[in-house]
Amino acid sequence: MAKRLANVKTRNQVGMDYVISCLNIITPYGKKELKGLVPFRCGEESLLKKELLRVAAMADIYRSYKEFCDNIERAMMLMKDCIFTIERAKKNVLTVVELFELKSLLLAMRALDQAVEDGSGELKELYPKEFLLEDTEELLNALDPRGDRINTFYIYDEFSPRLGNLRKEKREIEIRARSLRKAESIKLKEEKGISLTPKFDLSVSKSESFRIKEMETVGELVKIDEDYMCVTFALRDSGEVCDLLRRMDLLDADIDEEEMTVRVELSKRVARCERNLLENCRRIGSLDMTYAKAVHAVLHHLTMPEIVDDHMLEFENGRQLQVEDVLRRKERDYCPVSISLKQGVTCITGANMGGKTVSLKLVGLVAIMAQYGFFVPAENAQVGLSNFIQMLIGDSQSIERGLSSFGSEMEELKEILDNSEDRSLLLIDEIASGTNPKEGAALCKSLVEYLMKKPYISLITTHFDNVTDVSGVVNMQVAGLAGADFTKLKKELRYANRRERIELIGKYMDYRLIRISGTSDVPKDALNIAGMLGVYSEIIDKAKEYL
Amino acid sequence: MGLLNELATKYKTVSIVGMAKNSGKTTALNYFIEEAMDEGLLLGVTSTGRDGEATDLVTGTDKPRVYLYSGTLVSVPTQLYELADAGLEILRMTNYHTSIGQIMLCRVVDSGYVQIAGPVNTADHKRLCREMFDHGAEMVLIDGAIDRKSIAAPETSDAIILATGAVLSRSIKRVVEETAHIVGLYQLPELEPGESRSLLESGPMDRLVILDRGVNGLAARVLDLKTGLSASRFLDDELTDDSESIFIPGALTNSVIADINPEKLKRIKMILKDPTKIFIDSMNWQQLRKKGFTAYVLDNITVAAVTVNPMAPLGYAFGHEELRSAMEGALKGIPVIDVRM
Repeated sequence: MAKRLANVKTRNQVGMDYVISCLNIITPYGKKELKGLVPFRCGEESLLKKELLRVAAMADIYRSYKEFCDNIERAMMLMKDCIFTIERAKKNVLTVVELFELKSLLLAMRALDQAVEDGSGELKELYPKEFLLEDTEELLNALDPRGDRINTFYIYDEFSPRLGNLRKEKREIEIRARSLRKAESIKLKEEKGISLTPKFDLSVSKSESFRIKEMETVGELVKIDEDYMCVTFALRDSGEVCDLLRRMDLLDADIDEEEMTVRVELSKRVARCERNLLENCRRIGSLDMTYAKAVHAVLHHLTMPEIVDDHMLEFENGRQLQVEDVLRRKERDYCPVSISLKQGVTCITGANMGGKTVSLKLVGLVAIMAQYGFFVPAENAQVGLSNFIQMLIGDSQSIERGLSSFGSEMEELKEILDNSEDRSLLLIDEIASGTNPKEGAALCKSLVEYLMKKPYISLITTHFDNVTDVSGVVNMQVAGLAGADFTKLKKELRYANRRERIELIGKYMDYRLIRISGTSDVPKDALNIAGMLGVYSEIIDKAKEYL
Repeated sequence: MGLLNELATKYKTVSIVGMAKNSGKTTALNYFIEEAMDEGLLLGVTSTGRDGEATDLVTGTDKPRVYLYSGTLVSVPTQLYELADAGLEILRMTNYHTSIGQIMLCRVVDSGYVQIAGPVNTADHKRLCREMFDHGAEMVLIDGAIDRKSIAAPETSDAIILATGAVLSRSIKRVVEETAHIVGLYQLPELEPGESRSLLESGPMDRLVILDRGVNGLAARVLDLKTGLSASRFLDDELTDDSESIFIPGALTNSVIADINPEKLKRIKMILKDPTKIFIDSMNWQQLRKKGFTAYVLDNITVAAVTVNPMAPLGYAFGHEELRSAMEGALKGIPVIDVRM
């Protein structure tokens, strides 16, 4: 098995799981497709480009052809999972319920095709040919002998002339028998004053033994049942009625047999159509999946990434979708971030609460979404495919395994380094910040030097000085509070409560990344931020003295 | 005009509810189906889905097996479809799930026996009935709860047919008394639209509420109580000279009223959600009435007809005509039918 592109934890942390949970998949076939979703690997660039073009086409359709989209959604909503039934038809006889469900599926497939058929020339041009279905009209005809294309099912008389005749005969006999019995029952009431139920029987309680005796003497009645409670008498059937009933039993057996013949024949026809049916189910699955991607892309203003051959990642105005949604709920805007990454090491430095980790996640999200054939939440994105993507975020303290946060971080680091190969994308968040700053900084710097020599794109956030001094390292700094009006901010902070303090910092913070050339110390904003969050000034002021 | 046709002009959905197990509910259902056939009434037949009875599935003893004529609309779960002896055209697969498969709406094409089951919750039930009407049913019969204690609230149907019988007691007098008591409760007067009703309906429907008539007119006082059970003494304290009525959302039992001062009980109107919330037997009820106790409900239950089954599974039985006429005498104006005749 090929090594996976990104592990579960990374997909979750960059926000890919969140994106997937936002998709509106309609059919069981689409759900299957989603479950088996695999990323495009290096070397599959042309396939990925084709998938992205299909998403683009569906997005155009979603934007311009509302009615068509309503129609295909409605058709897809009617689709049930019939794969098991289709496969069963090869070896077995399908039940009436299964045949009904197949007919429903065929009608839904037809509605899907019809929607495209009825569309304008332009729509037909846009609609990806890969989603057009194989012809199953012949099977539908077989399941709908009346040709009325209504979603109901029964082993109709039209399925076999013999069946129709048998049933007709049975009905006639039934009516004849009933009218004979009815006449008999009326006669009994008129002559002997005994009235029977509409089922032509009569129950007498055992406590009325005299009445039981009396009934036993009535020639027109016959004892049919006796339990601890009562004795039931029924009308004694005349010879003619008996003959009719016997004939009916025979007819019932014939009808059962004929219905079975019809079901066998229909099951065979389903089996003959198996390849087309399964292929259609698969196509509906990829239509559903692509359509969901397209709708998601339109609703979240995503754009098509340009897939390039070089290993690189570049975009303008990127938005981490999960964080954007949280902000939107608070009616705040996401401050978009632009970045350009090549093989080598890029460091992000800057203020606490400056969105470094979110930017790290954003880079991972854009890379993974693109590689899974999604549009990306950024403009002018250029993505070169990776062989391996992993994020290392220092929050994996494991009490169960007896590892401190530093311990588990180091363990994970080793795992990443072991697994990295040519064209890896490594996203490392504040490595070694959980230990003493002297050793931490040394470790971080040495790691950067190691990574510089590798064919990876490494993105590292850090607060350590000197790390960015390593030659060739690109240094990106969060714009932070540098441009903020501190007097105004302080005034506003004075009356703020806890939640408002955090929001104020968010308001004044400039999250954009700025490339710094030459060596420079990392910005020192920690004490300012701590003060803004309400840590006593006594402490902050003293700390400033120690600096 | 036949009985069923007459009922169909007044009620669209009718539930058949038994007074107890073996009171002849399925027999009654079968009787009305035959009747509909004779009267040419197009029926829909469904059942209040009863989960957890799947064990009886094989023998089919507890799921009513009824003989249906062609044209009838019926709800059948997927697992019982193949067991049906009738020819059933599948009209729609619904989204209502039960322990024995999804419910399908079918039309009987070829008369025969069918085991029916329906959706479990009230909203789904209403939707299914509406669909049956859309397909041309003139009346929907619902195979209701086994015994009246588990009957769903009145909203499930327009009216009920109450099945009663010898199973209740060896004494014909007791059978009639018990049945008349229940029918009496079901037909308790509804609280007329007006000040009290609108006050209650705008308040929390799951709390006890006392309505006081003060200088500023009628005012609602919401108590921090969901049930009056075992709260009798507390209620006595809360009911003042100004109190006019009390609304109890939960059950009404003897323990709710035992410690309320008889003078107060006489003066105060007891208001309940619906009659199924009353769990006081006929003797105690009569005594309360004598003391001047009055009760109202927000929704009562229309009893369209009563069926009697003169035979009990224990082996004793009453005379067909004797039971029927005694019952008819006790229930003025409600048709009584012997389903064993």
